[in-house]
Amino acid sequence: MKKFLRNILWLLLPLALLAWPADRWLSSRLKHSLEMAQGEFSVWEDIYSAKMQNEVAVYGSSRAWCHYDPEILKDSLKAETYNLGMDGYGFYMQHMRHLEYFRYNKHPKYIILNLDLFTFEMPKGLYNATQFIPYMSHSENMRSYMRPLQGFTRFDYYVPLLRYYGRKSECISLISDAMQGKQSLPMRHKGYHAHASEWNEDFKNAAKLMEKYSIVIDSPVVQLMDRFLTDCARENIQVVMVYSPENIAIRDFLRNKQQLVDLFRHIAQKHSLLFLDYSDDPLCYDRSNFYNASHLNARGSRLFSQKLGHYLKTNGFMPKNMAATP
Amino acid sequence: MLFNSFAFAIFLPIVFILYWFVFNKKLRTQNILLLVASYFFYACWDWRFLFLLLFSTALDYFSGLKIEKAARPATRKFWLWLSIGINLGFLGIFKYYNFFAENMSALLSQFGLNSHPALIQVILPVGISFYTFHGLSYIIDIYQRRIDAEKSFVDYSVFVSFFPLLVAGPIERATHLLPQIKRKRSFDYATAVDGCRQILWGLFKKVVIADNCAELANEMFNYPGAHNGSALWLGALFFTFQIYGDFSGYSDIALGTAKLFGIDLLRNFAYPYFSRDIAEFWRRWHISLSSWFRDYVYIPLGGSKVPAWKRIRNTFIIFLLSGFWHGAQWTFIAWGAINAIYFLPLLLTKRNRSNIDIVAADKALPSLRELWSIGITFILTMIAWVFFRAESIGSAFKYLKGMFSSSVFQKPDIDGMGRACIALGLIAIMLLIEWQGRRDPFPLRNIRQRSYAFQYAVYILFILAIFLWAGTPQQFIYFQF
Repeated sequence: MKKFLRNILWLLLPLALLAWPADRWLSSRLKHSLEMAQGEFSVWEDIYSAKMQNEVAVYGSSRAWCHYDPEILKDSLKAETYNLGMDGYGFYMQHMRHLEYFRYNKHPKYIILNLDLFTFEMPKGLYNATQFIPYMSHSENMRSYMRPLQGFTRFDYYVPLLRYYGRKSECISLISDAMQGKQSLPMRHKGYHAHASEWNEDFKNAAKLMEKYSIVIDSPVVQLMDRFLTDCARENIQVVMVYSPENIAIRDFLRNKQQLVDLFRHIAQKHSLLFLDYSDDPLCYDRSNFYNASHLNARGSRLFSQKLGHYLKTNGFMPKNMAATP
Repeated sequence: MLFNSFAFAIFLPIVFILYWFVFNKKLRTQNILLLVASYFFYACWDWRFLFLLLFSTALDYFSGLKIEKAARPATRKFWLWLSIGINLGFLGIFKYYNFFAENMSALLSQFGLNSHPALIQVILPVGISFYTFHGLSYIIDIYQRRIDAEKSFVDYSVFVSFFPLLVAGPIERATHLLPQIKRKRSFDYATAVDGCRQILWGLFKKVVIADNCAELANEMFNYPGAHNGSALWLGALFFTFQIYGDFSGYSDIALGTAKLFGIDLLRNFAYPYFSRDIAEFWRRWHISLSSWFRDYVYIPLGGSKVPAWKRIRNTFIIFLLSGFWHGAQWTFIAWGAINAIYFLPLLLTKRNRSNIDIVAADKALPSLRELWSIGITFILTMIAWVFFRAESIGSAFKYLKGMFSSSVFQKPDIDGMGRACIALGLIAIMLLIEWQGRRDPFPLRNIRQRSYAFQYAVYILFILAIFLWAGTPQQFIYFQF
């Protein structure tokens, strides 16, 4: 028995001892990777370095991070802007990022809250979960928001290296980059990522496979947004709700979009906020502005950012009437 | 609690240490520990179904005692059928009720009679098919006077609920497992190390092979219309290895875990994809279920010692039952029927036992003839798995139609061909290791003859492979049965 335990120990102890430094090393490499996890690390690092001084913050999903050019908005609004759009997530996880951002940084004066079809959908699992790995063990907000979602076990938050289980591509590329001394190029600029690509087949392929989509509205997420807007009002932070352009091709595949838009309008009215709906803007009718049905490409993003910047510069962040179609 | 979870990695050493260091003085306390640990393990899935397990255990325990004590054949028969009826009743309600209700309703509607049967919304208690079959074999064995009824409720409960086999087998026999539970067990270094090697091999098959193949197979089976023929063949191939890696991996972990407690469970897989015909495949695939049906259904029906038409009937009965055991779906029944069709020519021409030895036992490589037979058997099996995996019979035929379309000669249109190539490479590695170790119960066993340094390097390599190459975690397929 002793021999058995000794041999098991000899096998596992070195691995267990190596786990902690390996975790530290991988996490530190991962944090500074500018390309992996859709470039989200540059945003997380900006948040956790507590140096963000922007007056305008853009919140939203992938539609935020590739639609709002912070430099164009800065030029129009004469205010430093940062894009905190979070690929693949609706408002639930956007709120987690908001809490982390507010915890470590100076609070902005204005928030542009980008809305989309998935804003009120509670995620079932974690998308692009790699982005959370280096921070999840010490961020209480991340832990509490991520625990109800599939992706990590409760042990992953505390046991070194366990969260890297099965992440072969990340581990291998981190090791090979380190061995080659490769420095990755920044994918994001102030959180923004312009997609240079043209209209692709994503939508056509999805349309072949999918039935009509019923937009999900999870009431806990609606309540969360309500609380968020109340908190912002308490801090005198002016929020603008924006439904950025989406290609008209998507309309045929949606069942209950009007219900969603009505809910957005209702929330905006309740909190006396400006709601700008660009879902029928002329930009939506031109495929050359998009790389797929719901995402603007670099050209479309530039045009949209200019348009929005101009509107906000001219009309301000406060509503003149309760809901507007610019 | 999955075998490939961190929770199990904590649970197992705790039970192991308590078993050998704290409760090692008395066999009874060791068995009580195993029982408590097994119930805890089961309760981690869903504690409410623990009561069902307890009821089933108590029913079979008392029925066994009653059958043994009863002097009159009618009384013996009464207790036998009571136990069988209640056991199958539970299985029927939880697993098959909705299937029968829906199909009966569909049948009646063919005659213009519209019925709306009440369907039950209940999750299938994990492991019910396995522990029900444990209990049934025990009762039938007592009735046929093959064994004596077990007097100790704890020992009998451990036989039914021993945690390594509780949720996905192997389906044990009282004749094999109960004597081990009743015997004083002492720690054996070689057996324990063997157990660890088998756990490692099982984890590799489950986590690296099955879970990686699952991602690719799901892609093809979920959208067969969006892929060309060659991609669909690959999808079927990935599922073939997914189900093998998943189930045989689970069995290896179960057998290895049991060895750590000094218990030897029935072997469930014996390199089935090296089979040279379907009869051999069925002697090597899910052995504990095949032998259960053979002993408790096929032989009582007359087995092979009956006229040809009865042999055909008996063969269909056990294959259809085997398919139906896997789930209340026509796809499983079709899978059973296809295997019966594959098997019948061998049975009728008395060639069903022509391949009972290890393939190329005394050679490094198989002959061309053996290779051909293995290839044909593998392809037939792969085609049958399409029915097993498909959502419906219609989907299976649609999938097969795609597989046999002219687009089979095109380059596979798989999203992320790199992943598919890596998965194929991993499958090839597994097959090579299995071929090398096909004379042993599991392939890693043969490294015990090598140097410690070699063994250590192999273990580290496997641990790293499991850590790095783990696919997206998937539920063990056989938990649903």
